[in-house]
Amino acid sequence: MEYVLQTDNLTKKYRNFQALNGLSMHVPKGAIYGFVGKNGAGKTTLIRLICGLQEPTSGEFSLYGIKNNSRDIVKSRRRMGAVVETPAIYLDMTAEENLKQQYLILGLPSYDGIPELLKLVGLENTGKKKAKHFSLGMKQRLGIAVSLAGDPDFLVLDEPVNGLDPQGIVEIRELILKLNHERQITVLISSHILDELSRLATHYGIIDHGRMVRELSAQELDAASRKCVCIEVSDTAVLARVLDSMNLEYRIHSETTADIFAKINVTQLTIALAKENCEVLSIQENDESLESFFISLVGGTKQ
Amino acid sequence: MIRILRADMARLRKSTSFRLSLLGMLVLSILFMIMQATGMDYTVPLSRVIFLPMSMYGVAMAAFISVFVGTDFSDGFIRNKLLTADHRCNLVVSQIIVSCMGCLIIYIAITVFTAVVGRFFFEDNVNQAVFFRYFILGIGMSLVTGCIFSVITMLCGSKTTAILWCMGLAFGMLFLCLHTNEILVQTAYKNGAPNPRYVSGFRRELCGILHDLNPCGQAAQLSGWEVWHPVRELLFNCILIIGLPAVCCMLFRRKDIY
Repeated sequence: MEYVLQTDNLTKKYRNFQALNGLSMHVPKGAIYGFVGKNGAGKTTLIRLICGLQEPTSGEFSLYGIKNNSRDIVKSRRRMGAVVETPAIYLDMTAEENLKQQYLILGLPSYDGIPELLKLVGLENTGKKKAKHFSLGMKQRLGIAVSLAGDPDFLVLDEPVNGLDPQGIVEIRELILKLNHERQITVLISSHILDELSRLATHYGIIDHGRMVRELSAQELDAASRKCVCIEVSDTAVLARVLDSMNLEYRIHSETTADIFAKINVTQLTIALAKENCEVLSIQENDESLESFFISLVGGTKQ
Repeated sequence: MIRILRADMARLRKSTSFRLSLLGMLVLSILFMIMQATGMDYTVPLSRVIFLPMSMYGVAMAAFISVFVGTDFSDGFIRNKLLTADHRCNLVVSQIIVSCMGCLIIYIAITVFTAVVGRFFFEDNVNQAVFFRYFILGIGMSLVTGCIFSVITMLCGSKTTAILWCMGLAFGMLFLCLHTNEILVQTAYKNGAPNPRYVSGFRRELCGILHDLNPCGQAAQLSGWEVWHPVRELLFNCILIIGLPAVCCMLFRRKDIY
């Protein structure tokens, strides 16, 4: 698999605080990589390191296969756009002026692409309105537009939906999906709004206390957190026979426990098992979402 | 670096802090001219007025630069620049050059404005050659001012902190200049008797060096139409103009940006 970003044992230590502790992650090309973690887990620190805002204490990372200690990392960074924490925009400038600034920084020959970018993020009608008078969602979209100048193929968004109203969240989500599908941009999104992330991400990285707890694809997460009925019986061999006869999907865990991946008629199943002298000891619905999966990995309580 | 420099120059042209500083200095220049024209019993010579607004130049430039450069940090645009910059030093040098350009434009505009308007209201005793020499020294003073405050702002990495440090330093430099000037203008004898307030030897030399190193001290000498050690001033300015960006590059290279 081709990776846009790989980190290897990346560590960042501030005076008395270890923000990243040997973090290793892999962002596949073309993915929407959801970077999940509690506040202070190290998400923003990692983004600052890959954007070159800070230097790692130890470990290394590579962008498009180019290591961070190589001189060519600058070229790799030009292929990425980023919105770190707050949108990086001049508040006393209009949307167009902000984009012109970014175009100048990138050394782009003309401003021809600006109207298209503004249209892409839905800010084409802001005219002479200065960014300081924009809503939070508009600022966020302008930040994304600025990061898209220069046509990057890797976009890093740090908490892009933080503080947005439901309408703003939907707009940002649609924009990210559009960028990923239409422009084939690989996206790394850090967030702790798990429900929102689960509507977007194709891959997940779960971080806690500066360490990568688990990396998995959306399919793997679906399998791990699939809605099912956990059943405890006196003999799972009998259960398997009965479920096969009912044509239901299941997974046996032990001699007494199994998961059934279907909506079952409890009475019908219990009667069928009773006929085979198999007792039903307990039945429990297991509806593990990304949220509960995350909590099961990093600990804490579901809120 | 050229790319960042072009972007910063474009921003300077539209900068509110730059326009306000220029306007503030213009108002100050007019006020000084009115005070000199109406407040004295004798006809004030033009030479005493031309560089008079420069006495507050340090404070005005501290405000302008800390806001102008600090905005890059407060609005977060510095992150976009860092993402695309070939080297952090390019960013530092570009910010310093643009700040110095801003300072220079304000210096030239105010000096030319005061010289031209002042000719109508004050006794024109200005020797063109002396004016030209002092004008060149003023350019050095203005560049050093730009360097000092832009370096402080870059190293602070925060607009608010930078404003506090720059304004604090500007007033500190102003008070130091008043103190050293007070010492240096004393003559050895006053009314035929030795002047008890006259300081000689090492202390005088130290005061002279501090006065020449301090851009406010240089401005005070210009506004008094009397520059005591022009070569030393030039030398100090050259050292500061080269040294400060070099130190800033070194420190900024390792700085964590938030």
